Amino acid sequence: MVVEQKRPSLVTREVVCTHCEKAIEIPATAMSVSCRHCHRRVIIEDLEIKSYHAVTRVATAGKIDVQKKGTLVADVRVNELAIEGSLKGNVVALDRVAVGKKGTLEGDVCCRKLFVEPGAKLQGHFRVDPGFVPEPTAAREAADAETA
Amino acid sequence: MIDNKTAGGAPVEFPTVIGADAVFKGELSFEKGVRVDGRVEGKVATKGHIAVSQGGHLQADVDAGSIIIDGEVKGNLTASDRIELRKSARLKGDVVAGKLLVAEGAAFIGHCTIGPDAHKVAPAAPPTNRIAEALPRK
Repeated sequence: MVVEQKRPSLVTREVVCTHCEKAIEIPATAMSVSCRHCHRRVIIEDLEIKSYHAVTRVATAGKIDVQKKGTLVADVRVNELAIEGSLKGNVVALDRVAVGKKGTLEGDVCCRKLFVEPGAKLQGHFRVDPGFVPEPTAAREAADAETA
Repeated sequence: MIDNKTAGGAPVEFPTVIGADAVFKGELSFEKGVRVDGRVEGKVATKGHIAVSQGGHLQADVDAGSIIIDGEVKGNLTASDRIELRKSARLKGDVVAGKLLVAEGAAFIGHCTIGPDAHKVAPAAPPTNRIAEALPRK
């Protein structure tokens, strides 16, 4: 007699690829996956910035939390961004950007929701649009190359 | 109609109201506060408060103490205290203020300079051609 073993149902969630901006379904516990549309590596994990970090670009389909003593110098592509420290760079956020009372943000920002606590310092061009859809990275890079 | 309280909870007085069926074109100045339920085009300069209600339109360069927006605004805004964008606010223009409060659902496109020293550091918002074009020619 063959006993059918029931596989435990895989808990999944949907994230948006940070390169091609297409939705992908991933296991709930995944830290990084390969996008099934553009085949590039997509980081899912949440990042906490507790000290000084300077890089060209940070992209995650999760959340970035720049803490009080943290400084991030980078162009950022993220789902959610919280700034209690300092961030210098352009930001593309699929959901929300929150700047705390001691937070500093210098750079151009595109996001769907913006929360700014009194005391925060902002400098840059802002596009806060509840219907904002980010441009895919490849198209953005091509446009940048054309202008350069 | 706009809620007369700021996000901090302090009530704001609006002795002057531009009614929903009113259109004001030109330079507007006042002491305490004005609520725009209708349409204002031109320039606004005051130490008081200005509030744009839901359904109100403001197409002007504004220099005020505080600005509350629940309607549609096109123009450069400078506030010595705070700018509040409420959930139905639509703002297109540059912003210079000590504090900025943005509610979920508000839309904003423009350059932003916010901070305690923003008012001193940032140059005054230059008058845009868009506003000049909107005004009737003499």
